[in-house]
Amino acid sequence: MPVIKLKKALTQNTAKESVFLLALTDDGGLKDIPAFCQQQKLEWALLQTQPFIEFKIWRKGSLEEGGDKSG
Amino acid sequence: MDDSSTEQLSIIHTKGTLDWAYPVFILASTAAAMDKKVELFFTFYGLNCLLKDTSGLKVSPLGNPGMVMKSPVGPDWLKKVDWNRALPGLVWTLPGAAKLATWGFKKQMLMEGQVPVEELRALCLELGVSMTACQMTIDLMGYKQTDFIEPISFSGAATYFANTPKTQSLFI
Repeated sequence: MPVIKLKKALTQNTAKESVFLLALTDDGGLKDIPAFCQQQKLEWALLQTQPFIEFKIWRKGSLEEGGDKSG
Repeated sequence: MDDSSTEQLSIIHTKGTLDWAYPVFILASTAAAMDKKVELFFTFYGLNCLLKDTSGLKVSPLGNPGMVMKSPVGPDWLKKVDWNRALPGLVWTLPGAAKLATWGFKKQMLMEGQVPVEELRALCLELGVSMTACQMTIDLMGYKQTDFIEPISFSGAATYFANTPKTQSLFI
């Protein structure tokens, strides 16, 4: 589900500078989210793994931070 | 269907139980989210997954030795017990056992952050997954096209193969 929710957030927020904060509890996401980002040509950073996993995700080439969206 | 370089996934689904519906819709929705063109073909008992009325989608440990059946409620020691291993198979023939197992399975899936199967199915359609019901099996089993959700298409195996010539296929 995190991948699907992220995809929906990406399609709903098409602004190039959008930054997405993704929080998840499933350890599988540690590999899945980077794999998804690589395939979708997105940049990502792992912010934390405890008490839950949190990723920051943004579109390649956008350096400025804009709105955020968590899912 | 275009024969461009679009990556494709196709799943032929033949199982009519709730536990097997999930992996199909999860794989399909994930692949669609990753911009793959996804084609699902439902035949035989798999047609259950496309019916408007999903009450026929159940799960039972009976004849399903791989199923892990744990209580979604109760103290921690109780939640750890795999009842499919702990109890003799005969227990699952008792009236209400499938109902109990289905209830537990649904609750467990929701606790894992999954959504009900109807929602997951709608999500697949929303993401552009195309679904086809096997017309021959519909006739065989006495269903009507109006029994099924929309939008899906109805055709036979030949149409399906003609539409998915270069596709990676899974048979479930």
